Amino acid sequence: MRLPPLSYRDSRSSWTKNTGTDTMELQAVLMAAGGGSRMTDLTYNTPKPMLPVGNKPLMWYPLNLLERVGFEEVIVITTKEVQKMMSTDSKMKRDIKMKMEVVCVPEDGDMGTADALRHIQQKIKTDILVVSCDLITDVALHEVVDLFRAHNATLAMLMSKAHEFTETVPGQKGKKRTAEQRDFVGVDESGKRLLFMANEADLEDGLSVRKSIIRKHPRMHIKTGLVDAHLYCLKKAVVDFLTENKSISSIRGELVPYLVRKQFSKTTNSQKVKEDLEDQTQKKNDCSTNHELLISSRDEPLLQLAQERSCWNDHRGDMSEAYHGGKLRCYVHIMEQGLCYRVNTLAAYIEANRQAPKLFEEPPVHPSAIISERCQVGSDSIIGERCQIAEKTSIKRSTIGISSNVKEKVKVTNSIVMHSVTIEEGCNIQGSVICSNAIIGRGADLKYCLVGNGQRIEPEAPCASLWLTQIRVSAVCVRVCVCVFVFFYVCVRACACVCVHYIDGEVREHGQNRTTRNSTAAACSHTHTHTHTRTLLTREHSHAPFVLSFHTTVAKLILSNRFLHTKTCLCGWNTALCHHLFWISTAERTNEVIVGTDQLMEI
Amino acid sequence: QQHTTAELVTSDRQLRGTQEGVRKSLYLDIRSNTPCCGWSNGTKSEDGAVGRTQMLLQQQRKRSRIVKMADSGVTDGNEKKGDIERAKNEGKELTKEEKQRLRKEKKQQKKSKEKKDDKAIQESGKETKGDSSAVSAPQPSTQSTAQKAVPAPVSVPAPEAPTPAEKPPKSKAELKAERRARQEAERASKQSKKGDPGPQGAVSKSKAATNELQPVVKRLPEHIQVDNPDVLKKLAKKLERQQIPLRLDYGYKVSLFSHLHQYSRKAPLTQQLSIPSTVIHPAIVRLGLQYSQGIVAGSNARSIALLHAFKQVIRDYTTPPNEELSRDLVNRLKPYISFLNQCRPLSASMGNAIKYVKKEISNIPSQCKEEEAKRKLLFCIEWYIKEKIILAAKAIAESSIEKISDGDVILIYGCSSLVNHILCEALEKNRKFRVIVVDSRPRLEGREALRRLVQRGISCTYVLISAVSYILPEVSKVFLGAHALLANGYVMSRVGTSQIALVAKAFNVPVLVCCETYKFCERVQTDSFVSNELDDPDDLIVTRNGQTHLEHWQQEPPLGLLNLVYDVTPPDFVDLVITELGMIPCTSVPVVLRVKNVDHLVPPSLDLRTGERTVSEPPPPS
Repeated sequence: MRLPPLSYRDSRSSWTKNTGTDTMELQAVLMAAGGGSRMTDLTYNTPKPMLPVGNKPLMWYPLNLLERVGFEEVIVITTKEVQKMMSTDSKMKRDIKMKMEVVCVPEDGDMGTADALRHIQQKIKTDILVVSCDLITDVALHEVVDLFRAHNATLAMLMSKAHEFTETVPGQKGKKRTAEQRDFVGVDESGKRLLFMANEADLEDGLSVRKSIIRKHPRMHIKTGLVDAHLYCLKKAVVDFLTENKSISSIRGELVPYLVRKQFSKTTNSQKVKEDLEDQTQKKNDCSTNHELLISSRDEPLLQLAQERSCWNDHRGDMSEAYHGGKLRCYVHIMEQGLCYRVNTLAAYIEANRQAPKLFEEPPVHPSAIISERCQVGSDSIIGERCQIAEKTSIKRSTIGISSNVKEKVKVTNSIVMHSVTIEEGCNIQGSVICSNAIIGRGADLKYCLVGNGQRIEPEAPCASLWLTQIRVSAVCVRVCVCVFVFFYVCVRACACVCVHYIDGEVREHGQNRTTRNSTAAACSHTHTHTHTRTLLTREHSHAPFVLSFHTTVAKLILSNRFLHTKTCLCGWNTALCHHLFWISTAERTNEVIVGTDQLMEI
Repeated sequence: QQHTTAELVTSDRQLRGTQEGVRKSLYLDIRSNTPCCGWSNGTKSEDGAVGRTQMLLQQQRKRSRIVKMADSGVTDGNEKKGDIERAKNEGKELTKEEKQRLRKEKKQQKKSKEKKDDKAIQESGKETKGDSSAVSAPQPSTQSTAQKAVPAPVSVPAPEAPTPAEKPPKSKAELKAERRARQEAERASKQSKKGDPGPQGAVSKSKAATNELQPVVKRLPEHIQVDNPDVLKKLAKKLERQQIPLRLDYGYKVSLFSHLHQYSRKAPLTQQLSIPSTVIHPAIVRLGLQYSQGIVAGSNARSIALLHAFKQVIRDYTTPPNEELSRDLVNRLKPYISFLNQCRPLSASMGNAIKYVKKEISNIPSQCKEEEAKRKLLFCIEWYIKEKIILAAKAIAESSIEKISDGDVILIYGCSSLVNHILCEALEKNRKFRVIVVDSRPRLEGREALRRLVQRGISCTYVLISAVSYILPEVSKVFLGAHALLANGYVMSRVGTSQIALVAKAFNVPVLVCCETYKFCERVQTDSFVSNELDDPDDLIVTRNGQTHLEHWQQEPPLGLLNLVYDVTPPDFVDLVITELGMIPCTSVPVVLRVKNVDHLVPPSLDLRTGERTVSEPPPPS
């Protein structure tokens, strides 16, 4: 589903320019400083915004979305590293014609999205549209913005039906992985007004809805299975509110739930309290923050008058006026159809790569690629610039990155090959992700593997396929593989031992395949520590204290391994421990814990 | 004389309502019998065609006679028309309204004539049953004469969208004959255009005669000529110039309303607009959305919201170098207005507000400093809202409370902000009364009125419009709001109003229309067909018990959904109009309009209301 071309997009005689005022309708802000903590295997060497999806950096997609609908400027919040890569990336330069204002935030700082907004507060002149760098969607953006416009909303956001990732994902336990913790999203009868929001993680014993909501909206649809696209329209007043209220650090985690809750709180609604607030603004700072959120227009009384005269109401069944007299309104547009991916997990990354060709109209095979005639390249595959593809190869449903070299008799199916990868003769690669600069030795047979950045897979080595990948091997094999692994990385010995321990238990409980897959996949990427922990946690929690101790080990290991986001990770894991303990005592959902912690880790 | 014209127009409007064929033939009838009419110079040569169609007429005469009986005005309408013509030629006694009416009628005739010719072709084709040569031979003459008679340059014949529901299916041979006949006719018409200037000259003469009487030539507004591809093309061009996207019509339109726009709520204009809107001011975009989604509905609310948006536009405006504020700002507003017009056709009240704002802008002297000019404009807009809407409502409430006596049962329809205001005020004045709220689908605005009244503690009864005749015996007064008051005294209001007025008349219940004078409109309209608004037909779809009927109505070719917004109520059914100038009969609208034209010139700082009152206080009808 492509958007219709915007015929009036290029018109340069704008009212803003003619008038020379600074006022714009919306300013776009792209959040591209996230570390990609849920797919550390991939982001070890390449920061998340620059991960190639369909041979374009991930952040190209939201930028393209913004440009397509008519934005001419965008503020990009990112890290120094990404900025450097952006300036060298030819695709970004060529394709994005928008004026990009890059703002760097400190890399290791524990900075949330709301903190980032606060950081650029001086640059924000009007209402903003915040987009996350990992959003790939073909949404008709006007749907979201129209909600924001028509209802004079404080917040309008985009959600989408969660996609089932059917593909097998390397390094993960088959179907068992129900990664996200469920969100409960309450909407009104029209399905547009956002009334309620809760995450499973925050619920102790069941869902409780406040009376103030039920009284105003006796009929509320609570939806699950939705993915927040992390695309928000926010009033300028919200940014001002953030500068006043420094305790909020993340948009999704704290600000949005706060705004949604605030819709029904007394202070924002009853006129009397509001007036009181105005009196107290000089005295109390807390009150002024509430007051701040209410300001929306200079001609409030006039709008009020129009609203009073209008015979429209957003609800029926009670005696109150439209919107129940509330000034703060949150809306959500829920996509029923179309693409909407948040590339924040490996599964989503693989799925996005598969769908990417549908989103842009470029030819799948780059003209500068050298493809010999006697090879099969499926129409659903993308071949990047300067690729060399030798004879007798077959490439199906795959992406081959820039400057990659695929030698003779190679079979690539369902795989993602990033940039500058060399695949020697006779390889068979299936369902795998091969990061940049890797070299796959002759005759290697990779199935559902994740090969880390710059890895070298020995040609035909009997072990190679083992330790690099998660091939279906017996438990014995796993042990062997772990031994090999220990051999290579002495410093992680402790971890590996644990791993062996763990695998023993796991094999007994769950059978061979899954366990082996996970642990070995961990080994093949540099971020083994993480994956190990993940594996450990996914199992039943009979070893709770054991896991705990393991965590601390991991933390240390991360430090010694010069891990990229050291501090963040540590924070994350520490909280993870707390969560974990909590979860063990309450629910049987160890699986989700990791996700929860990851969320915390995310910048 | 005014009376005559009105009647005449009514008659053919009513005919229109019965059946198109009948209507057309009647037009023809009138024309052929009155060769003295100024514009039908070519009638004599047309006699052949008339004679031919006379046969057709005979078949339909029965029905048409019934129609004629229904309003006797038609039978002697021809003579009366002649009278009007004579009067027109004689002197300048005709008022502006009358002239307009005449012109409009003329246009109508022209239009219908074109249509009629098409129809005639078809019907003759049917009659002669495939005898194509016989058909095509007389055809050119008809067409060409018709063209001669039409005063304006020939336009493409009205687009043919034959629907199976409307026209009986034709055989191949018939279709072929028809096509050939049309081609011939077109060729002939071209020739006549090029070749003989005679009739053209005559036409221009008659035109000149009218020009003498009235220098301002008013064209038919574009938004009621959607079925004319030429006009559409022109509109598209204009929008392109203004950088406004064109909103596409939605779905199948009921044939009688094919000349109006019909949009889908699901396809807003913002779809085609860049997101940080650069061409249109954000306030206008927001307003347009609110109009099209019905969040701001009701002519008062719409006007206030519009003026509010204009205020924001003016505030953000800076004059570009080498431009004059008075001229540039007006030009700036033009695309905004055409944007809003596409979101939802402008209401009469909005038209008046726009007119006022434009006038104020152009009144600003060129040497005036920008800041001062803007301040002045903002003040003027404020004044307009306060004076014309808020204070007017207050004044109307004051005078209409006099009409509410204790024990009254008041019937209201829909949700008029003014009527609600009046009733609330009356309650505060401790009048004891009861209200019956009549509602109708699909918008069910009455529920909102009900909510507002019940919230205030007024005792209400809620019925749907189908129960109106049942409920009327207990009603003592009917209060109606208005969308606009037309120059001929007709009341334009939410569809269903005229039905209520009619029933009330039958039950001898007084009908009072409340309307601010800023909603008075110089337009003349005697039916709900020519100028109206079509709302989204999807609104008529209902979901009941989990079942959605009519969901796939578009896939049923014989089915058309009509969601009409307005209708007009003839002055006969309205006993009194309550305005801020006092209580007037419907027929005094032109007087008020004339006075209003004067008052626009007065600077807003003057207290106008007292002045106005002395000027135009017509005696309230007994």
